Amino acid sequence: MNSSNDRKYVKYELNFKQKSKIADLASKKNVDADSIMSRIEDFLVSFTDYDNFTFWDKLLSFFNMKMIDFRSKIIADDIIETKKKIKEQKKLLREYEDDYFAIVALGKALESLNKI
Amino acid sequence: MKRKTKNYLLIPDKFAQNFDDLEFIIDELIVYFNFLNEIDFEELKQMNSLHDSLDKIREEFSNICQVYGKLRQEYGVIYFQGNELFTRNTVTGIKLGLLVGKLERAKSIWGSDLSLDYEAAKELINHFTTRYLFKKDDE
Repeated sequence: MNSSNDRKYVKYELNFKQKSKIADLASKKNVDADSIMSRIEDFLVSFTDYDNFTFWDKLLSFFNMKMIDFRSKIIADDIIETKKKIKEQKKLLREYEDDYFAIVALGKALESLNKI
Repeated sequence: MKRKTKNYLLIPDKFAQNFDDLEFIIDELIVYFNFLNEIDFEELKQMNSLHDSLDKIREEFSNICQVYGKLRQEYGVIYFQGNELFTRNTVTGIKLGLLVGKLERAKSIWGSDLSLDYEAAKELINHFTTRYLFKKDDE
């Protein structure tokens, strides 16, 4: 394996979309974009010797699974929250209906004062 | 002074030579950036049929998304209904508020001759006024 000193590099120019995504990531993580790029460069260096497509296909699938798993957990939490909100909102609907009839009844009772 | 962000990545030449579609790999690494530190080689080795696992987890994710979508839709409809009823009660409550004056006048003219619990009526009006005119409590 090459040592880090004699390893050669090529410049890969990022396209607009990639730069935007990196800027977005940096903003969300509150770090500078260069540190995101450095991490990607380090990652590629550490996997230089894994040069077959099968490995990378598996690796990217692995990441995909991790990401889906992560999103599933967020959605599962949000489902619990949404169910709570629906329950609360249904309770409010019943209260609003009851209040409406009470307000109307009270209004009618007081309006009759005019007729006395 | 703010340092200018570089516009390129330095990629080991050996890696670059082995992959025709570097753009795809970089795209993917940016998308999965948050998971780059989560590589578990043991887990990777054991996952011989990763595609099967991926299909299964995608199917589960799709199901959970459908459930979530329906719930959000249900909540949206109920929330809209709640707003409608709240507005209806607010409008009706304004009319009720205008009757307070009449209540006070009736009390001053007829007092206890009239079979009406003035304080209870005022308390009710205050309750509805506070709820529907001064505060929206389901935000």
